[in-house]
Amino acid sequence: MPSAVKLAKEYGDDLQVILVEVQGATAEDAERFAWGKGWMGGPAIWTTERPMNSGINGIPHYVLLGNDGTVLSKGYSVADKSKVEDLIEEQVKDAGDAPEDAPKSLRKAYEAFAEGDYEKAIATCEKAIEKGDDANAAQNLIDDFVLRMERRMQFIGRMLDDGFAIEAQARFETFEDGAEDVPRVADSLATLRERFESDGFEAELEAQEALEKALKGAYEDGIDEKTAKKLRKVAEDHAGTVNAGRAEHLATMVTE
Amino acid sequence: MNLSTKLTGGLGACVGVAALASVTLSGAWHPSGSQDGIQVGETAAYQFRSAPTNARGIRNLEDLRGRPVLIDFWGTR
Repeated sequence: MPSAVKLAKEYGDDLQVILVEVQGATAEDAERFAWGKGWMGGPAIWTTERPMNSGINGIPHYVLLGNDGTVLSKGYSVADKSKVEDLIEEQVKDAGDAPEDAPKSLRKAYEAFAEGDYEKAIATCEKAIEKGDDANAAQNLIDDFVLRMERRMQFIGRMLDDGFAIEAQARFETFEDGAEDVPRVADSLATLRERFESDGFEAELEAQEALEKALKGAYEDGIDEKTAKKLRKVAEDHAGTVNAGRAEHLATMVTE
Repeated sequence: MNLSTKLTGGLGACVGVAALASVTLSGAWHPSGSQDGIQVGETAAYQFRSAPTNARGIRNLEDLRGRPVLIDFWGTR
């Protein structure tokens, strides 16, 4: 198993792995190949689009981005395995830390935001403004926090669009705990909450649960005809849901 | 068209093809504008044209700020 796939399973949400097939396979063929190898089931995402020109020939190779989106390292995946793991560990440890040049009065705001206590994060900034400490920086930080919260809600919405109802619900519940007393995002939060209270969501949740049940064992062993039959049944039983579409698609991923 | 013109035209075409080949082979022209690709320290930005498999809501690299991102280039052959 490629180390990137292992790292994705090991780190879960703390790391995002993107696997890019670069030898001209279609997205479907690449996905079928990965199912056949037992590489699916973790949080890695798969694409045939190159998100950047790495400037490196030969595979496998990698580009590692830090928490702020900048390139930390690039090279050959096997040769740089230890270096990459060390860098990832460092980034995971530092995620959510205030930037080095952040004013002292706002450091706790960054910490609170990283912990999902958005109300506390914004209150800390507002207190700094009242005291006159780094007022401009504090106001800018509030604006940045609000923007990031809006983006997180949009992201959760797209998870629902993609049919990942279980994961979206877990993220929403955590997010809502920290955001429900933040007036600036109340409208967006209410709109998102409505989606989770809808009949459509319940249908999607049931469909995804059925899909995951049908896939049991397939992540390690690949999708065989027996699994494909179960998937087609899921598609039939939960017609009209996004997960029915996922099930139909996965039924075509049979690997012999 | 006389022979001289034909030869000149043919030679011009050969030079043009050779120039294109040398540019492509040397990597001097590249979609990103950089022969060596993205550099350490540069910020990566990309919007996926199609949602990746297992996207879980991810549509662009900016969605992933706040955690490290490992992009692994691999092949099926």
